[in-house]
Amino acid sequence: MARTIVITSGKGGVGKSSISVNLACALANQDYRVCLVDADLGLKNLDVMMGLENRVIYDLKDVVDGRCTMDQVLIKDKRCASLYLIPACKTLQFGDFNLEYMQTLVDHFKHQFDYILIDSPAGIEKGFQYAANCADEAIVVVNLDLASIRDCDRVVGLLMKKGIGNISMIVNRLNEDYIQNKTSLTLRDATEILSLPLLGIVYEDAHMIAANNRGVPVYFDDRSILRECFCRIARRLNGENVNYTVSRKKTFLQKLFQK
Amino acid sequence: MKIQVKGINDHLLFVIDETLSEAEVLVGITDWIDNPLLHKEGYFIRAYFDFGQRLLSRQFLFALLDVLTTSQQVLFCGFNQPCPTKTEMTHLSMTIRNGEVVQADEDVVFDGRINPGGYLRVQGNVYALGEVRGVIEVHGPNAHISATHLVDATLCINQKRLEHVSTRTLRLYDDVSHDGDILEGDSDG
Repeated sequence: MARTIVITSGKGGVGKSSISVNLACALANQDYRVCLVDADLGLKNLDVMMGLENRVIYDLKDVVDGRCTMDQVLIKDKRCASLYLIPACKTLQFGDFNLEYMQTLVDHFKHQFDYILIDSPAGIEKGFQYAANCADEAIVVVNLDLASIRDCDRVVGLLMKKGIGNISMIVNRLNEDYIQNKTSLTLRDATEILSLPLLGIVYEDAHMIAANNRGVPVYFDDRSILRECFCRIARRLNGENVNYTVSRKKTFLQKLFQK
Repeated sequence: MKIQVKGINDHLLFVIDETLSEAEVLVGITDWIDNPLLHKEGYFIRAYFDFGQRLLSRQFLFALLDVLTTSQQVLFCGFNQPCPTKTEMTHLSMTIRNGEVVQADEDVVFDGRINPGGYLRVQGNVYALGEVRGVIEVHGPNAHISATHLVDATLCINQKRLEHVSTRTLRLYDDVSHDGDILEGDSDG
């Protein structure tokens, strides 16, 4: 039976989709069967970030309209044999969608996969409600800024009211220079305010942006420290006790000749 | 007046002078019960009887009950009025998150966290032992807030607001006998 996890944040632009894609890749690379669901109806992104845009034949609207079966909507990833994507649909709106569809979809795949990761849209409106109602666990993605932490706190309260007790946190775009300069909040601030277990840290890295633009998840980039971050997050998700990744600090010369 | 009738909350209290004889008491009570002011359509007013320090004979008690049951105007509830319940104190141990509002109608001892955007509203006093970054509102006469760790918190006592409070161990009370301004109590922050 699959673990159904919603990845959410409240605030937009914190990196939910990037985290969803790369975490799914990390889990699939550890031989787990993973289904990634793009719940951002109307603004699909995951297929673009995974480079699977051209492979989308059917989407959620086709499932809703009965033009295809639920199994036909699955898109197999190019790189990971056990990773599948259920893309959203640009034309489907939340008003057209029913929570029961989402629940039926998730229930259908629960026996086929080990993990179902649901990438929730930003905000706390219908999209978030649909995504959260289908999940048994949650991962909240937060940046070390006040707005992100506040919104995340709100979301955590809503998730708890829905009965989701297993909630953990991933801090994205962590920049140690900003923390040292006191430009951003600290990890301790986030963990204290949110009072959630820290599932992992993802450092700020330009490779992430490049990877998203290329349609190749940064997990497959050996040069980036982020691969190690996601590996460890996946292992922690499976219950392993793993140290947090330590960033590779740039030398003076590297900083001097930084492009 | 030898027999006083007091209206207290939702019941009547008949206060009978100890100098009256039993016969006079019965006549007095009968007169009161026959008073149209006590006649309410639809329900019976609850009545308590305070005889003070007097010994009541069995005969008198039966006669009194006879008067009350014959008139059918009040509900006989006993010889002592109910004691007002002591204000209880509630213990809350939770995290109040952004957008959440927790309300209580009595004094609260709070040893959780109030995150920014969280509200604790109390009809009474608040003793906050945990970290407070949100809002504490108290209402009531002599309402006060005692807190050990405030970080940019907002405190509100009877609609009077104090914002961006950051201190350790602060007791605020609203002294209504003076100008009604919020006065700072003990503070070592």
